[in-house]
Parts: sequence; structure tokens; C-alpha cells
Amino acid sequence: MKTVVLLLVLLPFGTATVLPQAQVPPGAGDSKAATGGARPGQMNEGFIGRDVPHFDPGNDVMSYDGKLWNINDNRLFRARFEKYLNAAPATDAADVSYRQTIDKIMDLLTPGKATKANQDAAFILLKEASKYKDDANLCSVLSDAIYSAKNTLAQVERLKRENELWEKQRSQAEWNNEVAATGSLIAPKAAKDDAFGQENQKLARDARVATVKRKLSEAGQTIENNKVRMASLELTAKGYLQALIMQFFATRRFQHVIIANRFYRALYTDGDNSIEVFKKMVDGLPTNKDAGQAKIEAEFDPKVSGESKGGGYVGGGTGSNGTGAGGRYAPSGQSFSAQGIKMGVQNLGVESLVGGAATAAQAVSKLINSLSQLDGLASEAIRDVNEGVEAYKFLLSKNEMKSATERLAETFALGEYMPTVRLLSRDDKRRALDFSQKGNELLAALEVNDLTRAEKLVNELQTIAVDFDVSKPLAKVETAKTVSSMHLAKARNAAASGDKAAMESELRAAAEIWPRNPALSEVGGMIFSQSDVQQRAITDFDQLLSQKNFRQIFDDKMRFIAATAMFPEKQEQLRKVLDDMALVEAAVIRAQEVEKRGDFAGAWESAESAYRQFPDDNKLNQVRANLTTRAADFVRALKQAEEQEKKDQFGSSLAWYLKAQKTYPASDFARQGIERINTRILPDAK
Amino acid sequence: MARRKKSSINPVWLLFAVGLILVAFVGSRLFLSSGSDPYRTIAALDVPSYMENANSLRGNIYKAEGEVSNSLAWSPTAGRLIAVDVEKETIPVLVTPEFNAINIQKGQKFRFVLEVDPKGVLITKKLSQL
Repeated sequence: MKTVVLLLVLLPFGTATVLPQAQVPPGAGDSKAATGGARPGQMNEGFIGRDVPHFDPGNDVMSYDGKLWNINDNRLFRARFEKYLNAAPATDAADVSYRQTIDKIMDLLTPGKATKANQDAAFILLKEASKYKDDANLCSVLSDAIYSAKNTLAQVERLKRENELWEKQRSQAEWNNEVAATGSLIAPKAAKDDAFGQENQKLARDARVATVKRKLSEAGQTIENNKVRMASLELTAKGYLQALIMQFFATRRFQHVIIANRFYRALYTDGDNSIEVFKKMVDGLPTNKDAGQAKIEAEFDPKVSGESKGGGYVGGGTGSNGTGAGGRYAPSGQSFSAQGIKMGVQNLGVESLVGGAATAAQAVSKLINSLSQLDGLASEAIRDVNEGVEAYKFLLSKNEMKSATERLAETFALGEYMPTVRLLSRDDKRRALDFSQKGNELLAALEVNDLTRAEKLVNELQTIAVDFDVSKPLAKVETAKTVSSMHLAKARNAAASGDKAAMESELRAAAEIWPRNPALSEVGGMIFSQSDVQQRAITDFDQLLSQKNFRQIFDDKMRFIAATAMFPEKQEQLRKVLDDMALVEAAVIRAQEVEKRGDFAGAWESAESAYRQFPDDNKLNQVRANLTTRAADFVRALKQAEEQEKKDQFGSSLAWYLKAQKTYPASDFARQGIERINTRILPDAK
Repeated sequence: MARRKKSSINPVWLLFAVGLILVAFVGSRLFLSSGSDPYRTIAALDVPSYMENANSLRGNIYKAEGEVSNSLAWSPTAGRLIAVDVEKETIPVLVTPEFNAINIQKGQKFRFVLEVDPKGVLITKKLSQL
């Protein structure tokens, strides 16, 4: 049943010449149970061959002519479905009147009530029903077909009557012929006996019979011709009506199927319900195999799936008789790959279109053998549609929007024109629309890796539909977020280690996976800002180093340590500066500590010791200058000693050193000076 | 009864005698003092000037008295280098080997005759303990 129903869904979207080729989930159609794994599912010939569409209910995939098509995920169907969901219920006066008219027609033609008068009344109402836009003039077409069939039947009757007359004439001609042939019996005896006489009699008989035979032949030929004409007319009328019924069925006008079927039975009371006429008719349709089929190839189902490496753009192409263009995008890195839209028209031409229509009609004729079967299928479809609407309303009351939307979509696909479907209120339909739109938005968000929006939509869908399974989309979202975060962390590390290429690569990978990741701009900005700060710090370091402003470097050591982390040479320069400054700082601290004890000369000597090594340090200079005033005599004595020493005045120099030592006995400078001068005065001193 | 007349020293003679004794004492002292300094003809060392600019005193001979405060170095060939406190300052004095016989110790006072050499070093020319 479902196979037939889905066949009906397929036909109105393209009469088999338009085959939306959706991206099929992995494994779709791979029916190993049927094929034993020996060949792909779409290659399975099946009991009805590959000419008839095949539906796999396991994964909602329709296969036809080697193509796979997911019925639940199709752009054309979605658009049609959304149009229906936004439409107002068919409750205005015209809609009500139309339904009442159709119901009246069906009632008049109900078996047992279809009298001649009721048939005539129903026939009149067909014209009435065709006035409403919902009917799309189908009743008018049916009315014309019935009228034509009636005319044909009348003509056949006339021919029958004509044949009866011809039969009478032929019987008369045969009798005449017989009489003419036996006319010699009444001839004179002499003439009979005489040879000459016999010859004359024969000639006279032939002349009489010839006229009769001509009439006899003419009657027989006319009768046979009329029989052929009657058969031809009957076949043509039946075939046309059967084709119309099949068309109604294919376009899911089930009420029209039933009405037309009942008219057919009323017209042809011979009890022959077979559609052999239709089959013979469609079998004779031209199907030029060489012309092939016109196809619209379209991928309307963007799928987002995780990929670890590689990527690029592929797509585009031209058909033999048309053009096609498309694209498929797979970003590189560990990210989702999103397959976009791919559309193209191939082999578009008159021959191919005609051939496609013929193939579709032949495919339908293979499924159905009689009009009774068609009538039963239509009734079953009506029941199924009504049940689907009830199921939708029930699921709606339970807030199970996912199932409700799926049931409504199925019901709509089957019974788009049925009153129960058309009568659904807009509010009820919009709940399904809301769910459907959000579902489509979720697909779009996942396609472009807008994970924030995808997550928001998942939560919203979970709120409006208690049966919505969030695990799969959320798993994808969370995985993508995690992978993106990992790339960002790697980018941070690469930036810290100065690996610019790796940093850019990781940032790019993170952006591809989650382009609108809030942390992306934050981290990216931080890295680039850090890079800028780092460059500035390096410049400052070089400048301060050239100025020998080691104090400033020491005060900003944290900044320079971070900045020179990726420059080993500068790192070494900084290390030396900081080591020296550590000595200076220690000297300053030591001098300050000694000063606190009131030992100004000792404090000065500590500061002076560092000063002689690092004369450019401002802080040390300041401390030393302060202590110079506090230990002026000692400092003066040392300075005088050194001055005299420089002049090679060892005697007075030594006197000053002795004076300094007397002032500050613990002075190292004084002691060293004395020892140095002693050596100069007494080189061989022991 | 009549009072006996007392005998008395004339105050003039007493003042004269006292003056004479005073002059004799001062004269003896002056004589003694000039007679105990054997280098009284040698100029005393101007220590501040020496410390400021010894070069200006180069080649001159001075006398100086002071207390040995420290022994700085000793060379068997050049002698001993000692520190001598003179006039609140300490100056280095090189005692040449010719005075090796004299035992020079810290705290002893000496009178030196010194020559300022080209390097400003005070070379001992004469030495006597005080």
C-alpha cells in the first residue's frame, strides 16, 4: 500500500522526468537482506524490475532508475508542505459548496443508487463542481470524457443498427444468388439437351449471379468495416476514460477516481473492468531509448558530517542538452564538511520528455490491473488520509511535534486535496510549520557551522517538541565546539612559542569549524594584540639596552621576559642585564642596611663597590650620593688617596689610605689601597 | 724699760733676689731646651702640605717626631715601612736597613730626619728614639 502511495507522491512532482536526487544517508538503499550484499540496493531489479519506483521503508528512501531519493528531506516537497501549512483552512462558502457538490455526486453514484436519473443528475453536477477553483476543472474534463464516451456508445449503437440492416440485405442477396444459380431448371428441355443451348443457359445464369454476388460482397464488407469501427471507437473511448481515471489517481484526486470509476461502470455495463486498453495504449507510446531521459539532478539536502582532513571545492558541470552548476564545499582541517546545493538539468528535450512521460505511465500500468483495484486503492487512501489527520491532532495534543509533523507530512503527501487535510485549522498547522521551519533552520545552521544558533534551535525544538531527539544534533554541536576549542588552544600555544605558521593554521581550522565562535575573535585579538605588544616590548628592550638603562629593563623585567621568550639571543642579553641588576639591587639593599646601623662609611663603601661595576644605575648613584655626604671624611681620604696614587705619589697616597683606614678600620678600599701601595714602595716586601 | 730695736731685711733686697732667681731659672730652661734637639737646624715636616702635594717637597729633608702606630711592610733590601702618627695624622715612613739595629715597635716615639723621594715616600735619614 505504502509503495503505491509513495508512487503517487512522486508522480505529480515531475511525471518521472524530474528526479530530485537527494543526498542519501550512508547505507540508504543498501538492502543487504535483499541483495545478500552482492550488489547495491539500487541495483536490485526486484520483482517488478527497475522501471517501477521502489520504496525502502527502513530509511524512507525511494529508488528509481538507479537513483535514490529521500522522501522526507526534499526541497520541493518542503516548499509545497510549507505553503500548505501557511494556508488558511478551506472553510469559506465556495469550499463548503464544492465539497457538498462532490459529496452529492458521489452519493448519487453510490452502487445501488446509480439509476439513470441519478447518473444524469450527477453528470449535471460535474459541470457545477468544475466551477470551483479547488476542482481545477477536473470535473469538467471528466464531464467531457463521459460525454464523449456517451457519443461513442451512441455511434456504436448506430453502427450496430446499420450492420443489422446490412445483414438483412446480405441474407436477401444470398437468397437471390441461390435463386439465380438454380434458374436453369425452368429452361426449355430442348435447350438443355442441346450443347449450344447449355452454353447459352450458363452465360445467362452467370449474368444473373454476378449482380447478386456483387451486392453480397458489398454487404459483407460493410458489416466487417462497421465492426472494426465499433471496436475502434469503443477502445478509444474506454482508453481515454481509463487514462483519465489513472491521471486522477496519479494526482491523488481520489474522490475524482471514485466518481469517474462509477461513471465508467455505468457507461460500460459489460462488466469488463480491466485496464488492458490503457496498458496497450501506453505500451504503444513512443519511448526512444536513444533519447534517454531528461533529468533535473538536485541535491537539496545539505548534510553536515565530521571530517578530519582535506577539503576543497568541487562541482559544476554541463549536461548534454542542458547546463548544470553546483558546488560542494568541504572545509579543511578537523571540521564538519557541508555539502551544498547541486543542481543541473541533463538531457532536456522534447523526445526525452515524451519518453519520460510514457515510461511513467507504463510504470503505473504495471502496478494496477483493473479499475476495481484502483477504486479500492482510492478508498483506502481516503481512509488513510483521514486517519493521518486524526493522528496528527492527537499527537498535537500530546505536544509530540516531531511525530505530529512527520504524520502530517505523510498525510499531506498522500491526500493533499482531501477535505480533512484542507480543513485543518491554520493554528494547528502553524505549530507543525514552526517545528518544520526550526528544523530546517537547524539544518542550515549546521550546514554553515553556526553552532551557537544550532544549539539555540535544538533547545527551542526540544521545548516545542517533547519527542525531538536532541542527542544527535547536540553531539555534533558539542563535538565541533570541543574541536574548535582545541584548535584555539593550539593556536595560543603556537603564538606563545612563536610558531606563526602553526598559529595561523590553527586559527583557520578553528574558524572553519565554528566561524561565529565568540572565543575566536577574543583569542585572535588577544594573540594579535599580544604580538603587537611583544614587538613593541622588543623595540623598547633594544632601545634601553643601547642606552644602558638597565634599571628600566629591570623594572619592566616581566614584560621583557615574556617578549624575549621567542628570541634566544635577546633572552641572553636580558639574562645578563637581570643578573647584573640583581647584584646592584643587592648592593643597594646592603648599603641601606648598613646605613641603618649608623655605619655610613661602610654603607658608602658597599654602594661604591657596586657603583664601580655599574656606574650608570640611577638608583645606586642616588644611594651613593646620599652616603657620600654622610661619610665625607672617609670618602675624601679615599678619593685623595686614589688621586695621589694615580699621580704615583705613593707616600702621600699611602698617608691618605692610612687616614681613611683610621676613619673606618674595616674599609676594604683602604686595606686594598695600603696593600697595593706597599707593594709599589716595597716590591720585594714579605 | 726701753724697747729693743728689731733687726729687719730691706724689701728691696728681697725683690732683687727673687728676680735674680727667676732669671736664672728661665735662662737655664732655655739653655737646656735648645741643647736637647740635635736636629734643631732642620725644618720640621709640614704634614698637611705633604699630604696635599708631596711632589712639591720632593728632595727636601725634614725632621719629624712621632709615635709608631703600625708596621706596614718589610723588605730585606729596602727596609721597613712603618706608619707614624705625627700631628694627628699618620704618615708612612720608610726606615732603611741601616737602622735595622734599632728595634722599632708600635707605640715607641722617635725623632726622624726624613727625605722626600720623587715618589713622595719619606726615607729615614736619621733616627733617634725619644
